[in-house]
Amino acid sequence: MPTDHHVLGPAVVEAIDIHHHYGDGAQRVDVLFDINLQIREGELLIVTGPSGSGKTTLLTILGTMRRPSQGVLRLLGADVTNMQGAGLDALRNRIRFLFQKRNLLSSLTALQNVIAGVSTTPLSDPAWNEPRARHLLGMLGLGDKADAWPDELSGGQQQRVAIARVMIGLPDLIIADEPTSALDRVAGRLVVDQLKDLAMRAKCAVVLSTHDERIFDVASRRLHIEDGRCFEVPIHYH
Amino acid sequence: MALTLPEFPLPALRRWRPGLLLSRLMSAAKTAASMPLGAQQLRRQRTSTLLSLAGVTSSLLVIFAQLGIERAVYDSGVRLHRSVIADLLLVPAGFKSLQLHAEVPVAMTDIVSADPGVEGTSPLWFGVMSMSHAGMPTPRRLAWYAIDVERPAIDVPGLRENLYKLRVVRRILFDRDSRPYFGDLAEVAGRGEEVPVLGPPDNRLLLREMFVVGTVAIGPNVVNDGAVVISEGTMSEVFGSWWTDRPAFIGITLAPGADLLKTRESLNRAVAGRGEVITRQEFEARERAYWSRETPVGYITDVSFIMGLMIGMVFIYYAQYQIIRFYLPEYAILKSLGYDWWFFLCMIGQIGAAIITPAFLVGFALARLVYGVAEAALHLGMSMGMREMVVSLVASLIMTVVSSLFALRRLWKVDPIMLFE
Ligand SMILES: Nc1ncnc2c1ncn2[C@@H]1O[C@H](COP(=O)(O)OP(=O)(O)OP(=O)(O)O)[C@@H](O)[C@H]1O
Ligand SMILES: [Mg+2]
Repeated sequence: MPTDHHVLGPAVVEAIDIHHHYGDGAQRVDVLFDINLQIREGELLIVTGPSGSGKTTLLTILGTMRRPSQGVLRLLGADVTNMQGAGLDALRNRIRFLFQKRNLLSSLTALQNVIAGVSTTPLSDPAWNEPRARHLLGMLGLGDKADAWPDELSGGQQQRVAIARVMIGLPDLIIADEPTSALDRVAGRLVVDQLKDLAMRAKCAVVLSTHDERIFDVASRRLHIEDGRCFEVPIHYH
Repeated sequence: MALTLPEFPLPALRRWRPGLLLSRLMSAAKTAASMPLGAQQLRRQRTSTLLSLAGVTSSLLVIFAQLGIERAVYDSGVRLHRSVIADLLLVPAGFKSLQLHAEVPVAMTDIVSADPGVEGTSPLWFGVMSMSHAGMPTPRRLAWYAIDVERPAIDVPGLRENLYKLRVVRRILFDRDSRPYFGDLAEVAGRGEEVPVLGPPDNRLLLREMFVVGTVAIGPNVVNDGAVVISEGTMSEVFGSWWTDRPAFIGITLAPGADLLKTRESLNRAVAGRGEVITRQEFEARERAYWSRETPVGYITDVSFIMGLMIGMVFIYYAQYQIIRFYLPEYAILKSLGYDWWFFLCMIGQIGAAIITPAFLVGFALARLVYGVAEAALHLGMSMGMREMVVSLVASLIMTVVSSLFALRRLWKVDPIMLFE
């Protein structure tokens, strides 16, 4: 049973009986079994589990990057399991990803990296993209780094630029695979706080995988995967 | 009056929407242009960028060189053709090139002249001989053109004013644009002095001596280093009177008001295959076609053009491929942000354009230099004209587009899933 701590919006992603395996025959590895999951607007779901348990696999399936071997995936109410072409592209445009590292294009400045997150969306407006990007960078404490190259920024700063890029596209779903594991505690904290903020205020659904216990507290729900099966872990508020 | 719009069959329109494609391409181009990614990546991949630039520049040089050589060969090959003053020409049946030395039976002159549309005829004889004079160490081969002094078939600079001098036998005019193997002949003769020269060795024990009494301007071509213009009388005395019966072509002047094509038709019927009547344009076109299709020159220039094109393509592709390979994960990021193929095509095209533009400019400047050097050595009239510019621009465009499409194929493999590792 999903735990309802606040008023729940409509489901952004819905996984029904998802099963996934890699390889076939003798090489077959079953990674995920019977995944049933609904993630709603405003929720931040943390996915935990030992290394190799299938967290990344689940995230790529939820982000439509990988087709599940079995089961149905619904995104914003539409069944995307067998969707292709322009329809899928349009839906994908409402998802943004945040990776562990190397989120940025090294040949674009911080500002240009942020703008790259909006150019493909209907929100793009040549007159406003830049002021909006500057504003977001300022909000994230990077106002003076707008024209810096990514390799001139610290890991935490890079991750914040990536968050600005996520924010400017106003996605419905954010998939973040261990976004803090390459950061120290303070920088990691900043990143997850921003993600939490995005979920709460921009009504995104956020799915975040992590090994880092210190950030469990931002989760509205926590999902633990072990041996391919997942179960919700009740959240304790201190 | 009320304006009513005709009803279009909309479903048929919906199937093929070039407008939509174009607008997607345009918006992708705009997005790509607003993102200075390609230029920056090229700047960072300095070695491969410079290598590619050098490669593309040299390939354009090859293209420029072949265009220049081609133009020079063809243009110099038809210099004499352009100076013909006739409306129509009677040439040997199946005429291809003057250099093949085919001849028209002179008896055809009477048949041609009998046509009411013809005002007059003037034959031209053409051959080659070796020539030497006191200021020249060894004899050298050159072309001779023999004319009817009363009705010259050609008009080249210098001929009109010197024509009367040819009335005296063994007096000849030398082509002052000849290659510089003939010593100071042009200079001395140009001053008005008579220069004795030795014509071909002769087994009829006749005098070999002739006198250069003036100069004309014709220009050398690939097979002839120079030329002289002589009279029909000189020709029959030096080379033998049977030559008179064998003109290379007969120029035909039409009577006032005669229709060009109709006269041509009736003349062709009259000569009945013993010759062929063609226009001046066709005369020139056939000579060009001969050089481009039936000589190694045409073949070599075509091959070098294609080679230049391929080398250029490979080098542009090299720069694009290096960048795609090096920045593959970053292109995967762009893909995860929803950038489509149109965008990637524009992006890669931008990289190609950033290579081809400077390469073209440098290649152009170098080519002008090369043309200058080559012209000084060959005297074939190598020059940078509109045709060279347009053809090389089109070649550059083809290079960029084709290599971009190949490079795009590389990007096909990019899957954002590689970012989750
Ligand atoms: N492309 C693949 N082909 C075959 N097997 C794979 C592939 N990707 C992952 N696996 C296997 O699937 C299992 C789950 O991998 P996954 O990357 O989802 O784990 P994870 O929970 O993200 O691990 P980590 O915490 O180390 O990132 C692992 O046993 C892995 O070896
Ligand atoms: Mg993982």
